[in-house]
Amino acid sequence: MNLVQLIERSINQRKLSSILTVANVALGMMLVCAILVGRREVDEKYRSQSRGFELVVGPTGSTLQLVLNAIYHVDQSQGLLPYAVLEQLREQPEYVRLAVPYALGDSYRGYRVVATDEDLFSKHFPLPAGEGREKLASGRPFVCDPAALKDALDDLRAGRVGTHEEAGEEGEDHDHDHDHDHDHDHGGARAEAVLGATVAARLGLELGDHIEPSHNVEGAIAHAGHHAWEVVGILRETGTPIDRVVFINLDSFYRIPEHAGGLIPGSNEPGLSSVLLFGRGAFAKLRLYGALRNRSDLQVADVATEIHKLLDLVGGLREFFLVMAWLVVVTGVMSIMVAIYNTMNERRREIAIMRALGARRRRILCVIVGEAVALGGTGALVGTLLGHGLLWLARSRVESFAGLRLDPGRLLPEEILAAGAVILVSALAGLVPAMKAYRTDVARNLAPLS
Amino acid sequence: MAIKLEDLRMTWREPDGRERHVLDVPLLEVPDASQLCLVGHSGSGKTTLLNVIAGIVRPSAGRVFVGGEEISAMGEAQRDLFRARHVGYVFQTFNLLQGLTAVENVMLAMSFAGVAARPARERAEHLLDRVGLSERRRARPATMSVGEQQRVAIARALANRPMVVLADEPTANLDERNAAETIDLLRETTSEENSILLLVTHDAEVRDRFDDVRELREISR
Repeated sequence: MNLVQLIERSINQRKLSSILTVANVALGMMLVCAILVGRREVDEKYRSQSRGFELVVGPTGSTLQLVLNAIYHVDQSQGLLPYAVLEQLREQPEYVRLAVPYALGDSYRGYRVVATDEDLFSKHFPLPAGEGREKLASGRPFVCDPAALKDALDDLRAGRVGTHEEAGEEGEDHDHDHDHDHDHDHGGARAEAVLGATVAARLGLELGDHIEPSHNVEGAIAHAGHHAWEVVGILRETGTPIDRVVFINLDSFYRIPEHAGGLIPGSNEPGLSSVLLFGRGAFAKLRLYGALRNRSDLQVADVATEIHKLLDLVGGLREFFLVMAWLVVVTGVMSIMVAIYNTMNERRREIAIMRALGARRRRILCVIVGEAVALGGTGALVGTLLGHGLLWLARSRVESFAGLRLDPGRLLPEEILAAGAVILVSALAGLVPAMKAYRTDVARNLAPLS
Repeated sequence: MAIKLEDLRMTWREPDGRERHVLDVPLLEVPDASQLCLVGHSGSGKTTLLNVIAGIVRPSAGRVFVGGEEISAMGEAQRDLFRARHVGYVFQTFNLLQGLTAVENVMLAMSFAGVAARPARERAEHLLDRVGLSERRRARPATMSVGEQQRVAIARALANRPMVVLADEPTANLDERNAAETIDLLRETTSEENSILLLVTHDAEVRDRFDDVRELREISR
């Protein structure tokens, strides 16, 4: 009977009390781990996923919402930015290295559809890395025909909404994902889609398939006519929100009658949701930022600054929850002390018996402290596993809600430290009853019970 | 002499501050391999005497020798180790640990004496076999009869091949048949192990089973 066996038997003898005590510690530890891992994942992923993006230009409103909408593909678009802004930006090549338009409004089976042009495949666009076909796992970039886009914009500006559309509509019934020969040539514009890696994998889409997005981001409204986009490419996986986006060519987007609502209210000017702007160096970026900040008809957001602000904003809340979780852990550890202390009366006789058999006081002390450590350590281990399990269960919800793909399998050094702290504090908590055990009067407690 | 007490005095301090003399033994000598029955009425200091010999408590005055070692001069840790190795104890209420099986209760005594797990298990199983409990090795005390529990306690007392086995009213909680069997078993096994048996009782029937019987008041001042 070594020390470990003695501790194990002692815990087994008080199974229910031991399980409840472990559950107490585990509950707190689960929360601590979930918050620690969640915090680290959010910090790292929000920073890494926005790496390479510089400025976002959009309609006036919240700069944070603009960044969340354009970079993380969450939250609602705040309105429309005149298409002319994109044209103005592209007229400043000395400052602007790349300006990528984003037009939102559609979704496909829960995934956001973003209309953009071929600059998406520029080597200066950070995700996925590379240029042109290098960004793709298979297929080719879509074609955004400048002439067709110009025609579409001219038609919108001239008030000729959807004039080419009728020619393309055939009114046939068809499934979304199957090859069919209905319209994917929207008023002269090719209708092509490049899918994010997750979209393709989860929906089982392949090159040559046709998709038919619904109007609005929630996908609640079907387009009046059948508008199908042919899948011509699938992006390489990036582990970022781009994986969950369907990109279509901008010229096809403006040919859909519902997107006539994409006109700036009170005008015939086509609108964009945002423009992702990349400066020609740090100085140019600063100049662009300064110049755009002074405009009242739009707003510009520095991506890094907004993410910093966001993490600061949620940081306080996370710290609050972390403190609460630690309080639960401390309560759990205190329950170890209380549980052992409350059994000291029944233990006194056992201790006296062991002492009479030759056990030294130090050994008795070790049994009690060891029991506290075992309960605390088990609680810490179970709590850590539960915390990661909680994150594993929440990961798909977090991905759709916040655009973050959590990695619940990752063990942080902070968690190991937290588990160590729990064990240490458990040992200290165990010392209180252990000292009582240490001082047990052997002769008195060996006497027959009356 | 295997046990020798010289001018042993034990005094308790009462809650009201007064001193109460529990033991006052000028000389007691117990030779090797003997089996001595000490008789005394309740409260006469029998248990205290055994606790002093076991080194559980220190005498207020006098000297206690066991196997030639003066345990009354030892520190507490030394006495604990000495007790683990050389003294076996059988209690009136058996005092088995409820969370352990019969074999584990016997092994526990050996673990405090530093015996490794494998030989401890072999010895424990042998002793349980000797006291007729080979089929009850894995039983926990709560599932055993009082007679069986006392036999486990005897096996535990013999576990470390002690110089001395101290038995404190070992039949007080047993019926007549179990009491007789327990005394016979104690006498046989201690004799086989070459241990001294020092038993205290107030039971006349137990006393009648010993050749060497002494009244505590006779050896006291």
